Amino acid sequence: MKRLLTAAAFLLFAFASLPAQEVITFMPQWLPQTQFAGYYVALEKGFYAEEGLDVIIDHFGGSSTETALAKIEHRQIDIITTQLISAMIERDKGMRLVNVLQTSQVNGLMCAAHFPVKDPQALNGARVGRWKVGFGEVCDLFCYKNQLQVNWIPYIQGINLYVAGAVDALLCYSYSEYLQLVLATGGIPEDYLIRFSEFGLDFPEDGLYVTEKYYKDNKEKVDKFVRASRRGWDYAREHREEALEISLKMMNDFNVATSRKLQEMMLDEVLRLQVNPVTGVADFAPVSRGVFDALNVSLQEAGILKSTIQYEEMIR
Amino acid sequence: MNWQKSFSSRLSLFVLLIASGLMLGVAILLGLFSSSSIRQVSRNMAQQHLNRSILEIEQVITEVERAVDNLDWVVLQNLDDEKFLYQVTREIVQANPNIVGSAIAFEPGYYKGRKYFSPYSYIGDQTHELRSIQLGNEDYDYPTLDWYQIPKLLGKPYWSEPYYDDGGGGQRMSTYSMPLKDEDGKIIGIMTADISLDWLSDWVNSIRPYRNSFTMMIGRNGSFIAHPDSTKVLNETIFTVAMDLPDTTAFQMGKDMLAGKRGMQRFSLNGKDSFMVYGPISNGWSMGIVNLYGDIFSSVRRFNMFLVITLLLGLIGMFIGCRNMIRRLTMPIVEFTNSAMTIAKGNFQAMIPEVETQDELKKLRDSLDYMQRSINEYIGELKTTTASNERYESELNIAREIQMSMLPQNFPQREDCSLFAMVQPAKEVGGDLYDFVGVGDSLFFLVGDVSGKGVPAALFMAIARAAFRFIGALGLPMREVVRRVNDCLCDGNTNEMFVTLFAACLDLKTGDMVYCNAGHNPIVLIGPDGKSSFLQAKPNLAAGLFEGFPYEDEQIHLERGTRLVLYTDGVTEAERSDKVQYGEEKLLKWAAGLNPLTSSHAAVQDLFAHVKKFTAGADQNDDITIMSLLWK
Repeated sequence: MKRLLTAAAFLLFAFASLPAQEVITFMPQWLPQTQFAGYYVALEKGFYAEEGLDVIIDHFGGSSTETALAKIEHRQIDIITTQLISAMIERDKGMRLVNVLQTSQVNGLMCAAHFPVKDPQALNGARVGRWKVGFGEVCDLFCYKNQLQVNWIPYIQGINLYVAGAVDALLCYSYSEYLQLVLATGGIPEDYLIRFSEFGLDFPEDGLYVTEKYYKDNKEKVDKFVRASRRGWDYAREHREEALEISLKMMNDFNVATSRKLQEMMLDEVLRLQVNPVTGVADFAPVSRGVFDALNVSLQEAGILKSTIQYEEMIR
Repeated sequence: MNWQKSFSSRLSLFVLLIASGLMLGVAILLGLFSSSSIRQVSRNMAQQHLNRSILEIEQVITEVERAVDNLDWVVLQNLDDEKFLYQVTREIVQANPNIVGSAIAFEPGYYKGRKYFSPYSYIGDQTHELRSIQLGNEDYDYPTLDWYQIPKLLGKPYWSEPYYDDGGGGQRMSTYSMPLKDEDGKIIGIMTADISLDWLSDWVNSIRPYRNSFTMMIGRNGSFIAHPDSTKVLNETIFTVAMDLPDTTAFQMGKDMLAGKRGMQRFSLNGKDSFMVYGPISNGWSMGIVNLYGDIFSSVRRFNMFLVITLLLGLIGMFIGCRNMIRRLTMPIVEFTNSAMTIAKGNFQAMIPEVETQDELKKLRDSLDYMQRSINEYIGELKTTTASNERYESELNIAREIQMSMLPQNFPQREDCSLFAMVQPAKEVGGDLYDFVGVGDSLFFLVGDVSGKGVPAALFMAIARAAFRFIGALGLPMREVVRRVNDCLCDGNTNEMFVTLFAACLDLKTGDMVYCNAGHNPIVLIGPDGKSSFLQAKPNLAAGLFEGFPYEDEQIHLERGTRLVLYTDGVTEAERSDKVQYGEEKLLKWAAGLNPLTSSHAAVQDLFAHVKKFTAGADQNDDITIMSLLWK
């Protein structure tokens, strides 16, 4: 009885000592996968809880076109991941997104073709698959720079368009579809690949975004989320196997079929893309003004942006 | 079991070793040959399974394809009738047990201006009832899905890669999609039929040529359509598995399968020697059957184990049978051995067992029997001979005693003289003799040596001694005594035996001594001063050789204290084992070392001992006679 009373007293003390849990909803821009391992780790390891946050993770699911961007626009979600260019486009359209953490430091967009494409003109007139929900803007810049006319084939599902030969080429990310292609075909010749980062288009990609208003109203909460998320990524980098298991559990919870091998390779690639090429470490450095300005110019030239996005307003 | 002692065991073991060696050699050759054959047969068998399975799955695929293809024209002719379109999809599902869903999906905006129009009939997961719905909507944007988009882009029928259809049937499915084209050849929609992968998995998993064989199917994107590990279906590709295998063959097989190739490759699956036969399916998929050589050879191993155990038991049986048979065959040898041992122990009447065969054992038995009879005969002869020898020996002993009794043993006991003599025959009886007779103050004495040894010499000695006794008593001069004795001995001496002798007569008062030497060794004269020399005497001839030989005697005057040592050639010709003789020189040397006061008895014993010491145990080769006469 004495022991029971002691335990009850300890529990009461523990609950009393916890800060009040602030609810925050978070949605990555794609299906559950190790692309977002750091967030899953932060949730699983209690980093968010330690910051006093009750994080609810939602996901873009299946064939639904309700993307994270749509959800945050409709104020159905507090914080999302998306790519820098996507965020700039949205901001250009009027949704004032604020970058609170830049996780990606290197661009991972690629194009896998059925023929050699080291000469960009090889893609002229080709049928190229790209995500229906977006993400291919760097390739748009590439096409604009090289004056290419591409027949875009929008798709939702994975790589079967390419495997079946229904398209000449497929846009893919080095940490996702490209790895799926490798595991589906046994490998693609290097000269069939275009890595856009090698063509002066090395613009960083994934980052954490909130609306300007949300940031203004919940700066401290957002900062806590960012701190815990960075801890999550740092932990995942040091404990890859554990991070992989946590991610697989998340995918299982969302009933996403996958391959452990694919997720393992994806985590390695995502972590590689997080390494700052200037400093050589994963320092989550904000997008530099120079890169931001260059991107502003390129996107406006390609007609993707209509106005200049202000660095100070977007990058925090 | 003491192998060294058991002939049957050793021979059986020898036979066993040869038989084992032969069997082992045959087994190795058979194993090598059968191993190669079994591998080939197993590969052929697996290939046949694969071909038959591919044929079966292709029949299903063809049925599905026909179910859709055959209704193409019906749909195109009834585009305006929505209910009919639904009915078509229902008919397709109802008429084909392999089909769980069917759709007629139109291009956005084609069907009566609708963005989405896709009549779809399917069998519900839970209820197993046939249901019909309109498939397309904003959340299920089918024009961007593989089953619609790929055949549209390809412009030809397409079997989709497996997918989880949560927009319709809620099952893991693959869809056969056939483009619907209008009269201008423009694609207006896609007509589909879905098959359940769960059914496919069950069927594929039943294909097992061997106990641990498993069959897999992969799509064009390498993902498993069917695999014994259901968690791999849709989740893994053949390359995700192959990447974790140290053997790169699996990776290459994956590429071959995706390339639609047919083949067979041997590889290591988790350290187990395996092979996979694979071949393409008409819809672009590929099927492979993995087989473990361990399975294939398990029955062979069981058979081999049975064979080995049988052989071992057979060899043990053969060993025991061999040993028993050899024991039985060689039993007469054992019995012969026992008989031989009994005979060797002295039982010469021991039974030698009979043998019924006419082989070497029969010869051995006859030899033993002959040997036994020969031994018995020999023993009989030996007994006779032994008895005869014993009798002869006994007679010889008697003869020896008689001969010895002929020689006087009572030596004169006088103050002025010391006489002693001894004879040591080389055999039971000998031919040496000595004698002495005292007549007043005269002492007649002699030493003789008959030619030869043994009984003839002893008899001749007895004649010679009797002759001297008789003739010596006549008081004749010494030369006459010897002449008469010679004549007596020559008479009837057909064996031409003879006797050398030295006879003398010493006047114990004066010291004058008359002597006659008949071919005998010169006697030793030891003066009072101890000086020794041989007494010079005319040699004459040995008595018994020439009747009437004119023997001459001689005379010498002795000083008191002179010692005469008479002897036969048994002394000077006594030999050591190295054939070196005692010799006269040693005799003189002994004489020179003799104390003049030594009694004759002691002197004789001392000389005899000196000679024996010289011969050092060598056999005595001649009779030895020594006489010492000391005139004081």
